[in-house]
This record gives sequence, C-alpha cells and structure tokens, in this order.
Amino acid sequence: MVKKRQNRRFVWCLVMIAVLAAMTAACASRDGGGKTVAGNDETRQSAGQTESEQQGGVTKAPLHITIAYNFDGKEFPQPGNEIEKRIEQYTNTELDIQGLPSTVYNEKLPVMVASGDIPKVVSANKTPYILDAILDDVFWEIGPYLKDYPRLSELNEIIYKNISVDGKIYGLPRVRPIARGTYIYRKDWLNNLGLQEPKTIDEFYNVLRAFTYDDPDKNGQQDTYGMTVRDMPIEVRDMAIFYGAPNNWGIVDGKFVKDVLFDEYMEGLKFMKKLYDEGLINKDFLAVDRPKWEGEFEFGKAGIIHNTSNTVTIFGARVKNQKSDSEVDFFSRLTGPKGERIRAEAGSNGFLAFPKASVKTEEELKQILAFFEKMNDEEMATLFHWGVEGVHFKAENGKAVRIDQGKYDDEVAYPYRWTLGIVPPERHAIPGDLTPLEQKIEEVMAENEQLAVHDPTLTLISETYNKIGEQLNTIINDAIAKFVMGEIDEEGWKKEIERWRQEGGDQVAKEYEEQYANINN
Amino acid sequence: MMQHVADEVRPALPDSNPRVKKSLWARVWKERWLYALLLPGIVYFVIFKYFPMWGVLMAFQNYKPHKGMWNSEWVGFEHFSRFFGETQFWMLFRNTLILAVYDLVIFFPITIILALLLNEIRNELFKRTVQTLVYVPHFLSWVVIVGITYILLTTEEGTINRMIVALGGEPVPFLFSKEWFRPLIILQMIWKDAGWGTIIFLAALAGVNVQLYEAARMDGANRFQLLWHITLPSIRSIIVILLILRLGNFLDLGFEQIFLMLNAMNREVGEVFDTYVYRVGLIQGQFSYSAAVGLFKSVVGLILVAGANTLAKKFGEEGIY
Amino acid sequence: MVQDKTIMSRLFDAANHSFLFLIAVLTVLPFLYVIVSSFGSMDDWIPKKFTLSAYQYIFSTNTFLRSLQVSVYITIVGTAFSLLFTSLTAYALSHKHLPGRKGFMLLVLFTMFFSGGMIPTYFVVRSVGLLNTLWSLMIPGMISAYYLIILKSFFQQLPEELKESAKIDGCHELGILWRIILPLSLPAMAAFGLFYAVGLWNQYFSAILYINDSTKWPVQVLLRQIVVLSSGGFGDSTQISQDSVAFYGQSIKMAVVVVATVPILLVYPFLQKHFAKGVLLGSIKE
Repeated sequence: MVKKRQNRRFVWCLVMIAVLAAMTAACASRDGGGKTVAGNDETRQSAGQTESEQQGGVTKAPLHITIAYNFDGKEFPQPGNEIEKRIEQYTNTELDIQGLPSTVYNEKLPVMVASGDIPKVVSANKTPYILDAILDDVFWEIGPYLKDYPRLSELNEIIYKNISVDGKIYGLPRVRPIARGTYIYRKDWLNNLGLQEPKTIDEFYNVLRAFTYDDPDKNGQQDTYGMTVRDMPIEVRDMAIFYGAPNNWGIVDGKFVKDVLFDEYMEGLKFMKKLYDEGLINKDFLAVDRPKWEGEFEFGKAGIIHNTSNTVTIFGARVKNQKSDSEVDFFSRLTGPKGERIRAEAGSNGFLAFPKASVKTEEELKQILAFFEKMNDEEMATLFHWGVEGVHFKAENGKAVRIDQGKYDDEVAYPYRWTLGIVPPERHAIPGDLTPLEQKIEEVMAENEQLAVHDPTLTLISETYNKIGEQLNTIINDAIAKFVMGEIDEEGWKKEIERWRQEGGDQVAKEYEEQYANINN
Repeated sequence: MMQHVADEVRPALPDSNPRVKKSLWARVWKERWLYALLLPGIVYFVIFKYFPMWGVLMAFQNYKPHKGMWNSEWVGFEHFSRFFGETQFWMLFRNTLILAVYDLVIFFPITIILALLLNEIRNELFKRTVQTLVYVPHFLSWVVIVGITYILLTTEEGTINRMIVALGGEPVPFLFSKEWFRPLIILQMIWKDAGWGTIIFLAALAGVNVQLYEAARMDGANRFQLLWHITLPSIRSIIVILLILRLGNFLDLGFEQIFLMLNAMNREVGEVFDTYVYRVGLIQGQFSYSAAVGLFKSVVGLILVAGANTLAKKFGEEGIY
Repeated sequence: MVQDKTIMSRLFDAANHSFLFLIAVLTVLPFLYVIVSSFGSMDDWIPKKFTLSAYQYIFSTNTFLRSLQVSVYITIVGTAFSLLFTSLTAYALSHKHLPGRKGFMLLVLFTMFFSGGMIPTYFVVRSVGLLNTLWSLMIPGMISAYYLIILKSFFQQLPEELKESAKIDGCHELGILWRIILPLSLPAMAAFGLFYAVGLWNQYFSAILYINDSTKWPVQVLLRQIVVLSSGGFGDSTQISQDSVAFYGQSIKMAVVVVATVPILLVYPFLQKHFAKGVLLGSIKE
C-alpha cells in the first residue's frame, strides 16, 4: 500500500519537473514570447538574418541593411526616430542599427565574426584578428568597385592607402581631418598678460610659464598652471615632431628606425620633463582620468589642453559655462629647428567593412555601396552636417545657422554623422555661416594637411607587432613616464630602449623593412 | 519500519552476479526521488557548462574567430612556452601570488571576525543598521571606488595629502609608489567587500542551535567561552568549505580594480596575470594566448582545491567531494 | 537570554559598538558623497547647488523606464529559478549515501575551473534558441557551482534526526525538503537569493552579447554607457579609437550610480529578519 502511494507520488513529481522544464523550453523558444515587457510591437529582425531581405536588380522594395558600430554618445536614438526615417525614405532602405560603446563593441565583434551572426555593415579597426580575417577573405574587397561611385572615390588617396591591407581596400573609411591635434588655450588669459599666440617652441614655453606664475586670471592668487596633461606619450611624440623627429617610425637609408632613437625625440622628451620639473603641467598626469583632465581646463585651473580639433568649440562652450567672459582659441603647429611640422594621423577613425557571411552577393554589395554614395547627396549631407531644419538649424538666405548644438550632437552627430559618415558631409551640405573660430579650424586643418608628417607603418603589417605590440608599447610608455617624473635618468632611459629593442623592437623594424622593400621595388 | 522490511524482501534476480547488481539498482531505485531532484541541475550543467567546454582547447591552437575551432591551426603547447618563457613571468607570478596570499590571510579572516563582532551585538536595530551600511560599498563599481581613491590620494590635491601638508609633512605619492600599491589594493578590497563577505557567515551564525548556548550558560560559561566553544565550532564547516573554494580562485584577482590602479610607476609590483593577459591578449585579439593563461590559472586552482580537500578530510571535515 | 554582566563583557560591548559604528561611517561616507553630488555639482567635498536636474534627465527618457522594468523582471524571475534549481540540486547532493554522489560533485566542481569562454557559450545559447530573449540573461547563469557547493554544506549541517523523524511520519523526500529543510535554511536561502539577485541586477555584458533588440536591454547597459564611458573606461589606449566622448556632468553620473544601486540595496533589509538567531529553537527535543 505504502509503496503504491509512493510510486504514484514519484511519477507525479517527475511529471511536475518535466512540465516545469517544458514550460521553460517553450517560453525560451518563442522569441521573447509573452515576456514583452518592452511593449514594443516592432519585430525588428536581429542582425544577420537575411531571409526576409529583398533581392533583385530593380529595387522597388527597400534594401534592408543591418549595421553595427561603436557608438560613444549618450544614448542611442530609438529605432524609428526622425533622422533614421529620413535616411530610410531618401535612400529607400530599411536600417537596423546596433550602436554599442567602444569597449563592449570590441568584445562583441569577435563573437560576431566567429558565429556568423554578423550585420552587413560593421565598423572595424586594424586589430590583429581583423587583419587576419581580412587576409582570409572574410570581408569584401571594395577597391575595384569604387570607381563606380564618384563621391566615395573623391577622398584623399592617403586615407584609402592608410586603411588598405596588402595594398587592397576592404572598407569605407570614416574620414577625419588628417592632422587634427590642437592646443586649445584660454584667449582671455593671453590677453590679460598681453601675450600673443605662440608660434615657436620657445614662445610656447614662455606662455606656459606665464600661465603658471603670472596670475593670468587676475585673481591675485597663484592657482593656475600651464597645460593639463593626461596622455604623456602623445604629448612627447608631438613635441618631438615639432623638434624634427619622425612620426612613430622614420626611414633612414631604407632602414626603419623608431622615433625614440632619434636625437630630436630626446629633445621633445626633455622639454616635457622641463615642464614637469618647473610645475608648468599637472604632476599627477599619470593618475588622471578623462573627466578630471578635461575638468582642469574647464574649471580654469589650466590654461591649455591638447585635444582634437572637433573639441575646440565644445570646450569653448564648457568654459564659457563656468566663466561667462572667457574665450578660447587654439593653435595647431609650432615651428621648431626643422621647420613647421605636425603629426599626421590615419585620416580616418576606423572603417566600415562588409562581411561576406551576410552580404552574400556582389549585387548586394553594390547596392550597399550605392547607399553610402547616395548619402553624399545634398539633402543627406545637410542632414548629417546640420540636422533637421527647424529643429537643429534654420536656413537664412540659403545658409544654415545652428539653433541647438547639444541636440544636434545627441541626435545626429554622435549616432550617425561620426559613425556612418564617410565623405565629410560639409563638402556637400548647404553652406552655413561659421563663427570665426570655426572658420579658423577649417583653415588650419587644410593647412595641416600640407605640412603633416606621416607614419610610414600605417600601411604595413608586422607579425611581431601583431603579437606583442602592446608589450613593446608599454616598455616605451612606462619609460617616458618614469623619465619625466625623474624616476630614471638618461642612462636609465637608454637601458629601457635597449630592452625594447631586445624584446622585439628590432624584429619589428626588420619586418617593416622587408615589407617596405617589397612594395617599393 | 515497514518499508525497510519490504525493501529487503525482494525476489532475487536470476542474473550472474545477483548481489552486486541488485544492490546497485536497488540503491538507485531507493533514492529515485533524489535523482529526480538532481536531474534538472545536472542537465543544466551539461548543457551550459560542458557543451561549451571545447573552448578550452583554444589554448592549444592559434584560434581565429572567423576560422572557428575546426579550421584554426593547432600549435600544441606553444602558447604555454611563450607564457612561461616571458621575461616578465616571474614578476607576474610573484605579484599575483603575493596579492593572493594577502587576500587569503588578511581579507578572509577579517570577514569572519567582522561577522562575529556583528553577531555579538544585541541591539537589533543597531545590528541591522550596521549590517546594511557595511555592505553598501559592494555595489559601487570599481570605477567609482578608484575615482574616490584618486580624490583622496593624489599628490597635489588629494584630501589626505593636504591634511599631511597642513600638519607640516611632505606629501606622499601614494598612487605612484611601489610600497603603497599592495596595501592600497587590500584596503580597497576590504572596504568594498568585507561587509559583503560577512553575509554568508551571518547566515551560518543564524543557524546555530540556540539551545546549545542556553545549556552552556547554565553551566556558567561567560560570553567569550561561548564564542570560542560554541559559535566558532558551529561555523567551522562553512569556514573550511569557503576556504577550499577560495583556493580554487587563488590566482584570480580583481582585474578591474588592479587595472584602474596600475600605472608606469607601480607596474613592477602591480602587474598580475589578469592585467597582463588583458593588455597582451585581449586588446590584440589574441584569444588563444588568453585561453592558455586562463587554463594555467585553472589548473593551479584545481590542484590547490584537491590538496585542500584532502587535507580537510584528514582533519575530519567534510570536504567538497 | 541571560546577559553576561561582567566588566570584561561590558568593555567588550562598548569597544565593539564603537568600532562597528566607525566602520559603518567609513563605509557609508563615500556613498553619501555620491548621493550628495547627484543633487548638484561638487567642488571637492562641498556641494555647490541643489538641483534635481540629473534625475529629471534620467527619468525623462522612456528607454530608461523600460529598461528598469526589464531589470526588475529578470531579477525577480531569475532569482526564483536560480534558488529553486540550486536548492533542489544541493539538497539531493547533501545525502551522503546517494550512489554516484562523489562523481556528481566532481562534475559540478570541475565547471568552476574549466569554462569554454564567451564564444562557445554563445554558440550553445544560440542553438538552444535563447538568443534575443530575456531568458538568455537568466538561464545560462542559472546555477552557480560556487553557491551550490556552499548550500549543500548548509543542508548537510542540519541534524539528521529531523529527517529521520520526518521519514518515520511517512514523509517522502520532496515533502522533507519543502516542509522541514527549507524553512530551517531560510538564512542561507536569503543569502543566496540576495547573491543571485545582485548578480542578475548587475547584468550588463550578457545582455549586449545575446540581445540585439535594444528595447530588451536591462538598466545596467544604459547606465554603464554613461558612467564607464565618460570616465575613460578601459578603452583609452590608442588602439581603440573613440571620438570625443559625449560629456556628462558629474551630477548625472552620480545620479546614475544612485539609481543603479539603490533598488537592489533595498532588498537586503527585507531579508534581514531571516538572519535572526534561534531559527532552530524548539525543533529538536533533547
């Protein structure tokens, strides 16, 4: 009797567990089934599912494009927002965009590549595994197709060259000014002290001293200093270039020599050390995070900050917010013993690539490229550069004037213009009135292009650098910090550089040399 | 006891080795309820932990995401020899080991002591308030905590240094000194997680048989004797289990915390396996290399746990298995 | 309970109380800093003005409220599932005479050391059909081997006599578990419930990995974008190119920390009564 009851209970128990498990499985297999807390009825397709996509030559039906990229703004706009709708309408597409913060994006991308669940357009950099993937034919080579797209082709050749792998182009670059480093300074301080914008290295030094010791904010206290620093290696590199050193690597008689080995580099290094020793920069640069670094300039503790050109107006606004009668200006180049030079960057911030796993036919690739080409038409370029009329800007006599910079940044610039913009939209947008500062930025950027010093290794690949590049960089970067802070002297510096050479630096140099010789036969 | 009798009076099965087979199956059948309860958990582990386990093999390949496991080339122990041959290996090992030992020897006992102290409070309100407050830091992310650390300790403007200068001393470069790095890390760890760590001990303490206390009191024991002779022994098993488990993660240190505190000046004492792997492995997309280092740490942890488990059993404790 | 009234005891109490008070103050101070600065900008430790604008901003977006819903949902449901299956499994494994027990324990223990990693797990999650569902945040991490092992220990510590007497009264295993073991293990269950809940509440990366639909993202995704991002996060090496990162006022970041933390913080006080002593009182007749 007892047994029978027990057995029945046992079966009952098993049944319950089975039912529980089945419920779990059933709920799981329905896409978010019944658990639509979101309340959003849009069944947006997840990236990579191409079944429902429309194919065919004459596309009356919209082209469905899935996109993923790194997005570093505040909050990605909701699907179906005004900007996205306008793009879709104009280009006859259906966009499905995933914008993720850079750090997360860089961790998700390999998973996407490995699993094949990858959108049709992804942003990428020349990280080693992407380079491997490119060399293994994972992405389309778009070089041969570019001639069909006049606007996409009109970009500066160097930009395409810098993103090319093995001489071939595998993506559309997200264009930035080639040399966009700017030293943003407090113009009101300069005026208070009766000084001029520095043009040479010595003048720069004098301004820094004045900002520190001559009470530029005229408040009777010595509570300011010259320049706020965070990324010392970059500061040193830029000063070194002003002194005449090459950018990252120099080529001497066909041999590749790292910039740190040049005498001019030591000049730049010593210059920064002098600034540190004399209290002209923040002593805690090694432990400063981004908000603190920017805050030093914003709150009027430091007079100069070295940042990219697009931040000039942003900082201007921030500083004005703190002190309404302040003014900012900038300079980009300094003249040194070897003339006027400036560091060139790649000219792009990553590129957009097209995986063959999701873009299955050449036809589709061409349609996607056509989409990007179309984005340069005046209407779309205006959308990217100015925003929506009446919301972000207003048009007066055919010229645009910004109404709301912040709104434009959040709704247009960060999510779309910086991430999807290939050809700088200002080239094809309706013209607008620029403030003198904005005007100056454009002029200086154009000048910089002519005087920029390029990094010859941008187009080359070194196996060793791919493998242990980070370690090598750390040796040099740590040595820079230690030297500036006085932890090691010149002897110690030389030892560290020697260590860099032993642990792989020389090997990397050799690999670059071989590649370079091959290309330039 | 009828069911026991009923179980034993079972007809012998006509098999070759009736006794052995009968008792195994009989035992399994007897415990069928327990197996039923066990089933979902085991299924979970198999699906979500064992099915993906092939990933461990990445450590023996040059894994490339686009190639996948089957097409990536096999390199055997190459990554391990690179790792062990790394000039920095012993530095990393030393740093990791020292911090791990500090954690075990300082942090672990502190949580126990803190729990015991909390347990001694009789005022319920005070006790609950302190308990709640003391685990709040656990919820702050390391980014916030390191940010606060910086505010306190920067050489020029840090609150602490300003106080030191006001008292006539020289500012101390806490953030850039090798001597201060490890103490700072441990202090941060304690501040953040000691309170959190007491929770499990408090749960254990709540289960101690109150009648034991009363009986001992009636025999004239004072509170310290109660603590020593009743409270501690009651939670001894939990302490042992947690200790063994802690050894399993011996070489795992808080990556985020250390990474945020590292800089050129303290790297020599601060760089540990995890931060090294992050820089060298993950930033450059070197999955296989990171997998290899992770595997190394896991094996060390496994050996430690096996050793500790055996040791615990020798002392009469219940081990993990 | 009779109080111990010796001098030593009282001194100890005094010292203990003061010490713990100090500890409580030290631990809560920085969090107070965070809260205060969320209401206005700070200059070092002194607040400048009082404003609710940070909170207004955060709550003004309906993405935020929706993600809050998602987080609450997965925390509650996920914790329930986790507690259920962890206790079932732990209970079964707490029986010393279970055939094959050692093998099962090793099976579980092994998973604490060896894990396939992100990519293989992604494949499994995909093949089980959990991609892009909220279940992908609750099921793959459902049972923690670590908590399982500790809970098993807790169960083992309960007196055998209880189970024996229950068996005599005709109770079967499930009944024993439900009627006797669980009520007596409330402190442990409360503790693990809290641990699981916090883990689920803080989920961030799995959401981004498994869920493409941003309407299904939990609150931490949104919030980390704000806090981690503008603090420079990790991604400030020159490898990872970030364009000028969007600028957030300090007060918004602090408000984000408060909003991300306070809800889960409030869970513990409700669980505290389960940590009271004397749960076993009267259950065993000596």
